Amino acid sequence: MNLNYFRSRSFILSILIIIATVIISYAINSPYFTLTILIADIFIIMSIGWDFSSGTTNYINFGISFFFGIGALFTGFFFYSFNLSIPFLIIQAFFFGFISGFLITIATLRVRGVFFTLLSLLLPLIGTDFILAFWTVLKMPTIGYYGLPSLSNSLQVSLIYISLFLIIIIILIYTLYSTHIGLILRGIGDDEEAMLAQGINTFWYKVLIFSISMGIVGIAGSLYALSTTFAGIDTFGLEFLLFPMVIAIFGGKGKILGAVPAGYVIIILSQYLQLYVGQFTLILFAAFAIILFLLFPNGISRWFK
Amino acid sequence: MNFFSLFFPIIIYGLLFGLNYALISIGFTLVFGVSKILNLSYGALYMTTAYMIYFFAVMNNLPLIISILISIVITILIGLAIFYTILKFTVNPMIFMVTMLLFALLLQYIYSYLFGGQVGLIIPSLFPNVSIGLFGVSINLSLLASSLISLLLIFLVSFWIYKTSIGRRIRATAEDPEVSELLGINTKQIIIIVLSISILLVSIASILLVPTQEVTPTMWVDPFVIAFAVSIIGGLGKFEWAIPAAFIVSFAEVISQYLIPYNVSDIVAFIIVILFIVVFPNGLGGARIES
Amino acid sequence: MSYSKNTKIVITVVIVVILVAAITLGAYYMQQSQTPTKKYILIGMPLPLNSPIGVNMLDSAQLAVNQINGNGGVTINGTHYYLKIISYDTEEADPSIPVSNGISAMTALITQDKVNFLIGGYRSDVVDAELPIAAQYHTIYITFGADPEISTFVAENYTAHKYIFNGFVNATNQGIQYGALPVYMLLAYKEGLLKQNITNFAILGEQAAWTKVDIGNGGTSSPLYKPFEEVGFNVTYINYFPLSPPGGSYDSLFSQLADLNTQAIYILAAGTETPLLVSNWDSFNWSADKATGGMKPILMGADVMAEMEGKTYDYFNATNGGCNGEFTFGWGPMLPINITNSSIPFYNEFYSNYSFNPIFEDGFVYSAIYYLTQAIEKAQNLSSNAVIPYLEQTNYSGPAGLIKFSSSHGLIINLKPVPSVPAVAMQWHKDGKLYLVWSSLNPLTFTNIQLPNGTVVPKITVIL
Repeated sequence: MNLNYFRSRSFILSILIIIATVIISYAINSPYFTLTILIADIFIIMSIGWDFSSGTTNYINFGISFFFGIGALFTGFFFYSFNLSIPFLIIQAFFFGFISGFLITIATLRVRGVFFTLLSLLLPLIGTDFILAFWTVLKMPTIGYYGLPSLSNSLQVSLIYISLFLIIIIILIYTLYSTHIGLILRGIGDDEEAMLAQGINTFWYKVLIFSISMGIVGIAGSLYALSTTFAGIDTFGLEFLLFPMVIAIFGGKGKILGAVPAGYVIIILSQYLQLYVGQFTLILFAAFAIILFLLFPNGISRWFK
Repeated sequence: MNFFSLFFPIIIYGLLFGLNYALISIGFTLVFGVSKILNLSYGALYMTTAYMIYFFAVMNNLPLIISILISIVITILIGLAIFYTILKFTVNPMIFMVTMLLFALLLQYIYSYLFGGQVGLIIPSLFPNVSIGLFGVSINLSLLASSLISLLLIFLVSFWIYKTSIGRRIRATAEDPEVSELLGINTKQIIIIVLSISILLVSIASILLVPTQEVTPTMWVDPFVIAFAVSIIGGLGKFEWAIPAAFIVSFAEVISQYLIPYNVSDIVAFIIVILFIVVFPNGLGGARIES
Repeated sequence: MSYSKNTKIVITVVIVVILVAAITLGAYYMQQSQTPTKKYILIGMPLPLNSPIGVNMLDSAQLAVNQINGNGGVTINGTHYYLKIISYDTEEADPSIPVSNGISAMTALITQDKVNFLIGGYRSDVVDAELPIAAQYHTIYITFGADPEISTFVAENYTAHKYIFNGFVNATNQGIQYGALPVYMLLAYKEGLLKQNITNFAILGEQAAWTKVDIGNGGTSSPLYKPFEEVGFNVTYINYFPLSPPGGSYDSLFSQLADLNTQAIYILAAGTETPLLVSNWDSFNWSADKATGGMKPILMGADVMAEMEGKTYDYFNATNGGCNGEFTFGWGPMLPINITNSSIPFYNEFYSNYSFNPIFEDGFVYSAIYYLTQAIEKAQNLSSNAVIPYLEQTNYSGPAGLIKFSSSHGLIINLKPVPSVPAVAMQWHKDGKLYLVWSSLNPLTFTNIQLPNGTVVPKITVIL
């Protein structure tokens, strides 16, 4: 483990930025701003999960909202069925995200990467249709679970919890990344054939990394459900694919921590634009995402490391 | 319900819907065969034709035939524009695919903004929206016409690919683009031609099928998923396998509609696709996929 | 460009700080300029404005606000106040739009725009997520979802949740009156209109919280199954209908219904999928299957889209004339009907202003502005805590009926001698217009019924 990574500028800077947002939100004392930062934190967790796996290995995962939804819906299910407390709800969200990621990658990565990508496109649709077909059998009160417990009665305190989660996840991911796993990930992204030629079993590394990443996305889903007190099929929606992917790329594909400043910028802009420009916001963001992908596939990373 | 009351509806609807699914899918798999690009904005072009017809024929009261012709041209132009814009900036297949999907989303948001998001719009049909009865089953003439046209189009495309000199060049490019280039085939031109024909096909599908449905900004998802599913099952690039593959999907959906009390018809289709992705990734036609 | 590493960090930090500062200053400035001067009572409305449903609700509220302001507004402790609506689009009519949109809109309304009261909401799950926020900020929220859970939310913790009021008929109460129409109508048919026995019913519902009360898991265990059977009907099929049917057509579903000799179809759908369903119903060849008597089943039910007749959206056009003959039930004066003294004036005013007939929620939204204003005047106070006791005592005669709240803040509906909030039924005729055919105020009388053969019966009274 290369401890130098902890002293790296990007690591320290991202932690500082997260703490700064919490302090600023206390200073401004606007619930809407606090809500915005909270939403941003959740999206940043998703982006980190996505970037850690897809950004490094270049196996693009379009199904991120499926795992997000899994995290949210299982949270609802376990709360309704067993009245689990919040820490357990979050843990099981990681667990189910991990398991689903595991099964899916095992099934598809054996063949060719492009099939993994293609299957991932279908996953959120399958999730939505499955819930629509079986929601009464699953004993959901509506197409989803409402009345879920909140992290805290105070929005500010919820923000602190979620920021802590974000920081912990960053530490964990960066720890992983600084081991030989990180080297292998970058190797797979650069030239997988070469890695295979060196006798490295890339398959199991990919499975492991994607499972962990999707477990993290599951946590994000659980946090979302606990923040909105509702877990429904809206979590499978395209917004939860578009925004994390754009944030990850804007922050620099594969740079992982770039997602932190990128996430705040993008979510703050979208939340405030939404109020004044309404539907046009989405058009702006889709156009922005296209320009970003075509002109700056490496994001703002040049400025950030 | 006894066997006979199930038999005819299942067979007839399975065939009817299957041919329509094939109609939607041919363009998608054709483009892949030649350029090895998965056109993820395919469904968005289907949607574009529908909105253009709405704009010209319904909002501006132009005659239907003229609206259809203009809409086809505009759709092809937009499709080519998307393709070549992306091509100008990148050749990375992953970025290509993601950006095509982003264009589909952009179009969804734009149409939602311009035409209103929430209520479905109706466009006029070339065929009367009435149904005849055959073997105790109600058959919608519009759907029947579109399925017959689908059959015709697949014949025409097969003829074009296998019996003409352009077809030979297309097959060569699909087989091995580099060698074809060396042999003097203008592969860029071939790709433009195939892409245009593919968009033309999806446009025609839209013109035939959308009038019996609704135009909404999210309508691009269904045809895309169908095209994609049928192409995977048939084998990417093997468009002549589109018909049997389409039947697999349509029969699975219709049978599950009749026999299973929950709305699982979509899920059944997805399960089949996943089965193919995992177990028979080369599809019925045994296509070879390079990543 | 190559800067030294330190410069890069400084630039990044500076940019981030500038951005954050700019946005917060901007937000602060917006807040300042929107802080209500002493003259306005701000009413926040989170609504699905990208759908005619939400637009209509806003229009109804605006109508009431214009009338009240035109009459001098509200006087509190000698100061004149005028009403003002601030509305955000939650896009909630689309079930795939995140619930967080509704939450953000509500948070913005309360904390940025500093509204005094909230009126709005439509989709059950969005409303359910919004309730805790309104309660947390001690702001009255009169909401129009149909989920009985809204009342349960209030009842389970009255002290904390008393701010919520359900200003619309919830699904349970809806069912009671919706159940009456099929019975009376089919009696009318049997009596003298068709001289034909109609007993076979199929029930189709959209997948939503409010239909679950009726359809449950589908099949013979459904809540609606027994009541229908008890009255003498034979339920051939009861289930949710698919949003993406095979082949993009409901023909395969209808062929199953035809095979069961379905003579009437009862729909429950507040969403936007019905134009396809209904135009399929019209174009389907119901006599192909010999099991049917060659009869196209009567189509009736709570079909919100079918209530829409107007310049910006018209159901007859949307179904290409396919809705010809469809019966739809709803609430309030969607056509001129004398529910209370204010019904017809409201209808006329609404139609002349918006070229659209008011649909099922609109009479209730209009009433809400009025009875809220009355409660404010009685309380002589703008704080929600002060207004709530007066709101609870509401006894308001509005266009849709008499508004009274139960102890858990749901609408009380008395059924005798006549329903205090009656259900109303309309039918589309072949001339492309909606006609009023029935209301639970006069359950034995039908007017302007168009028979399947096209003739119109001006009036018929059923004799039991």
